[in-house]
Amino acid sequence: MQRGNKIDIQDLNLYYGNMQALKGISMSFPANAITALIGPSGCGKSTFLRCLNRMNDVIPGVRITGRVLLDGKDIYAPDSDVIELRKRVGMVFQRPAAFPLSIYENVACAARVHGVRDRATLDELVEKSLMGVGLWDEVRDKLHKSALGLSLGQQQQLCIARVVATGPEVILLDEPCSALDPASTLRIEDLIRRLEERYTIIIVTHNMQQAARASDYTAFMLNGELIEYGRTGDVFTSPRDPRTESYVTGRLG
Amino acid sequence: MRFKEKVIEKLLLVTALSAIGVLALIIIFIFKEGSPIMVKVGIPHFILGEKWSPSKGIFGILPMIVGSIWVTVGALVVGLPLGLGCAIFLAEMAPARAGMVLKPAVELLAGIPSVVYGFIGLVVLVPFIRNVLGGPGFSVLASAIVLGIMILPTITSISFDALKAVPKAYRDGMLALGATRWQTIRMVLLPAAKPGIVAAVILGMGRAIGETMAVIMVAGNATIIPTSILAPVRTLTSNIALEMGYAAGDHRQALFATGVILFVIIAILNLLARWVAAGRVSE
Repeated sequence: MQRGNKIDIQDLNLYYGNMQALKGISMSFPANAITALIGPSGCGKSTFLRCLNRMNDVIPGVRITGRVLLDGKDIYAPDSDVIELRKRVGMVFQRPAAFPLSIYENVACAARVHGVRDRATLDELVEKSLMGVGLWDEVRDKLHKSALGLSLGQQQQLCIARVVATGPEVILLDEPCSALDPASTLRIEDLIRRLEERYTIIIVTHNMQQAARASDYTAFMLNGELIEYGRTGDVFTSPRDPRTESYVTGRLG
Repeated sequence: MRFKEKVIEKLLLVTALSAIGVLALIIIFIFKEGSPIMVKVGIPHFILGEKWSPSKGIFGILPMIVGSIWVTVGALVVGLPLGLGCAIFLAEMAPARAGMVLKPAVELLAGIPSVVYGFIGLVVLVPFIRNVLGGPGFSVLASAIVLGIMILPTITSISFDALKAVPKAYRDGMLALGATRWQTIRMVLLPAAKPGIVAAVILGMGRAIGETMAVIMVAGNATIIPTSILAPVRTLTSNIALEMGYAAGDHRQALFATGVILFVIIAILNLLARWVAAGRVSE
């Protein structure tokens, strides 16, 4: 991997009470690339993703050991600012959760969170963010209508626009297409491809074809362990571990 | 078996109809008793008349209508910030165990008889207002504070439910943008819970406008339009309760007519609450 690493993970363990959900994970995510996390349900891939912007903090009973370095700084260090972290590492969820506000407000509230107050700056940022996700032309005439009137695919684009508006460096996507129809899925995949040049992207997916189509690197997880990690082509065509092979060929999970 | 089902179904139908029947009878009765005097005095004179002097046959209930509005708005000014703040704390910030103690405690407020609120208002609040702020103590302010506390359970528990019903995805989505907890509450949770909160306000208003006993004990009950929050006030409900014991003839009818006006106001509030709770609030 010639490109620099954006995130380095060193011996990450996560426990829900007594249950260990992530077991000694060490890996690095290259900058400006798309990395897919695959594995059967319950393997810990979503939990792992949520470690990267400390969204597990809000779940009671979670204990984490190990280090997660963002540009070399441990995000779990006592002096790390979680608000600043989430601004740099945005997250898009499985179900498109457009807020019950206007389309404009959905994007603008993300910017307001980070202190943008000036109306003209907000207008510009909303337009830029919506253009960035390819939604601008479809919604420019109904910016002040409720976002809940959009299709699910459009809502997911809006959620991505919302994250983009906070000016992140890393975007985490947790099965962003699992609630969408095939056409919307392709739209989102195209979008993710276009975002790659500007952001480091990590995507959790259930869908093998999606991982194969839309990622540069793939990590396969099973029962909280990282089994295999490499270039997507290699993981899919010549996996080193027999468990990876049986999963990507559809015999497992 | 089928016969038994049919009998039970019919029995339940009768019970349901009898509830509606009782309501219908009450409505017919107060309208029948109250409308003749309204026609006799003239509805505009009855509603907009500023003088209530039953012994002279003058029936204007504007002071009571204004009084009810003052007291109800005052109750909201006191009860809404407290109740909503309490609901936000319970729903979003309180540790689970604190919530388990606090919410039943707030709801217990609803179980205290109104005469007890009135009594505490009478022996504590009224002298306090008289000594510290001046005036007779029996006042709009005293009524507003007592009623504000009485509507707390309504506002708190309905707003709490509305906040709890906001999908977790909104919370996570906002936190993941780097929002603080307060930003999340202010920017997304409150707007999302708005229909429920508006319904809570309207039901709280309904409770405040209908309350009688506690208000009689602290309001002073003068039939004049209050000009300050320290002035005494009489509400529509108080008017009926205070005078029904000895009223006869036109006077008695005028009290029923007061009930008609009250009924119309409360019916409008309830319709509003239903309409809003159904989420038909357009942006």
